[in-house]
Amino acid sequence: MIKVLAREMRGAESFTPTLPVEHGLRAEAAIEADAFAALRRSVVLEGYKWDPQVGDVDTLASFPLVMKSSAWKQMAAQAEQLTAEVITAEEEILRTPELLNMLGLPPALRRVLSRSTPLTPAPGRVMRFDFHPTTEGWRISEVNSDVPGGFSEASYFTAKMAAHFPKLHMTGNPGSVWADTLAASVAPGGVIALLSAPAYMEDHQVIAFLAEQLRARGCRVHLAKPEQIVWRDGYAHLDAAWHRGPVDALLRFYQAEWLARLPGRTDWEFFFRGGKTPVANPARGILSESKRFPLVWANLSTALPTWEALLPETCDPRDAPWSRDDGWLLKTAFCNTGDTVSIRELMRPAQWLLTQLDARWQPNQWIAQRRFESVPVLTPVGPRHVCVGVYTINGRAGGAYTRLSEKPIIDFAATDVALLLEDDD
Amino acid sequence: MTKEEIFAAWAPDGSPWARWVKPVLFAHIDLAKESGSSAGTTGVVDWAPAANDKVTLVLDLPGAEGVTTGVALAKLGYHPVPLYNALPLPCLNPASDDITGAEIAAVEVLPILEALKLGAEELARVNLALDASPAFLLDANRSGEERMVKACDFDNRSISFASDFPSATFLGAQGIRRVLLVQRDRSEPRADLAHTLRRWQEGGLHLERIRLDGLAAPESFEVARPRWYGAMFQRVLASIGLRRVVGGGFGGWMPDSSAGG
Repeated sequence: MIKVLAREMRGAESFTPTLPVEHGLRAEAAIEADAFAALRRSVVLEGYKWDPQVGDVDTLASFPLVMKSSAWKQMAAQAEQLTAEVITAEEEILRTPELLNMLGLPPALRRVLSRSTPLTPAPGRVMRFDFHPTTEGWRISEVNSDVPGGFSEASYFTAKMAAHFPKLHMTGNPGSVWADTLAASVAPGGVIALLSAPAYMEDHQVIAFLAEQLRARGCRVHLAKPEQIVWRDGYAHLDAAWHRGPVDALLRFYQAEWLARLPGRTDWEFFFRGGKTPVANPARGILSESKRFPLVWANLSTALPTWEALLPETCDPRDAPWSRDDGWLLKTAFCNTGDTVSIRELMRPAQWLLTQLDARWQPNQWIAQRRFESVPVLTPVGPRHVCVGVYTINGRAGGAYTRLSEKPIIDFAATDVALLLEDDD
Repeated sequence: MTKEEIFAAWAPDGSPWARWVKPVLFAHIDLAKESGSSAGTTGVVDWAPAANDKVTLVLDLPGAEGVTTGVALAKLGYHPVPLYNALPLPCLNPASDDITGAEIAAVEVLPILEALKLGAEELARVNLALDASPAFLLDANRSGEERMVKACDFDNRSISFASDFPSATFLGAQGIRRVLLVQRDRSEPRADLAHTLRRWQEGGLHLERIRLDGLAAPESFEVARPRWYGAMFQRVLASIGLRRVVGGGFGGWMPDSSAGG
């Protein structure tokens, strides 16, 4: 399935840019080693990129990908259309609680979302759609609709790389736009608590980056964990040693299904319904975050033509021949960093066996999806598979978080690469 | 020294080990006091193998002791590689509770941060050889075991993952065949570190260990297969038991490798 280019280029000095015209995407040559070392130091010390190395993989690429502006405009327009469709679909699902049963949600969360209590307000909404160059053109694998990350890489790192290529420009600055949105939702000097799970540096760096952006906009910010939020009459208070008092908004980098596993005494349901303090992202994000979201489309009156055109066929595992047809893959309903994307030929037999057992044991927690044939892009380090994550913030496209992988799966060990734009000839 | 100079002293350009240095404490180096608590301390390293023996050291020592020992090892020809991976404080907040005066962080890492700053000045005077063997530095207190973590604390506990280290293949390519685990008052590796050591063992590296409290001599050892070892989501499963339950103690279930996509 993997289309590997015949020629593998290994050194920047021997690299000649090529143009895979059909996708409007190419790689540039790497910047000089000394310059990149300085850039890397800046990114890890000032840009909140605290996981620049995963095992033997350096997660920052020393070269950018370059996309034609016209290709980006089309992709951005598609992301905006996907957003509009998903917002409408989420509203319909919330009005039709029985559809919640199809999404693989934790029972406690399903119960809370089924209630008629008003939804907790949101200061804004950010999503990220993951586009892949395939033999059939650009296709999406999913939307990160609940707690998308990658802001530092898409903003600070990309800006630093762009400075080395004066004829190229950024797709946007999603960190800045998202921070503008959040800061505008509170009064000047407002208090915003940013929540994440302990022990995950890759999550801490996301909220620390956004905290710095918010602080620069005059907000008072605090990093905390969800258990430290106390709800009084629907208003959120931070009960921590460094701040005790109400907060004006909450930003969570703590996924919705984890919240639903917190003890009941934390009153976690106020993150979803009944809360008066705005929470980003809103609870409804979990509906489209579920990889089982496509399974409810047949029950909706909402039309999703862009989704249907760009997302590969997606089924309940009981309805697809994934066990005998390698043209299908499996993934869990809440597959957050690509780590449960399961392709037989890329797994050890024992891993595949466990995956099969789990998918058969609890099919409501999995989907089967037709595989697309990812087309690798020739880069200075050889052919690499590409995922362009296009952000939309309150419905408007606002930049891209782009990653590379040797495998046709993008996971936590993928390499971050700056995506820059060039004018069309 | 500037922040960049301090980081460069620990992660010098050209060193094969520099890219593994964890940057988070260096990003917060401005929080270091001018004269840290570790000032004047010197690690005793008479137990260390000769630097040209091509041994990788893993120092799982409490607080700043790993840093001071690492600096002493640098003078013997090792390259100390800090793997401290905890946020010191929640943004620009003070280090102590306004009301009680107690430390607000579950794990006190400011002394480590200060030792890194002081150590950089010494490292800058040491000409680290590019073929130096690595000495990976971990905080033995990273899981917050040394004190009762309160619900209102800043929860900066951390986990050491196998992906924080080079693979056995990479180490082998640098001519390294032995690993020496250095701990102060225990022999068995901590649960999270056991995953890394087991992988290295399976990769053909010979494991040895030593206790610095003098209760045991250096010895060879083998790491038994850790619970959940080799599972698809090792990063997930390693965290079981490290997430604090609201009612106190540990045992929360962290169901995924990261929150975000």
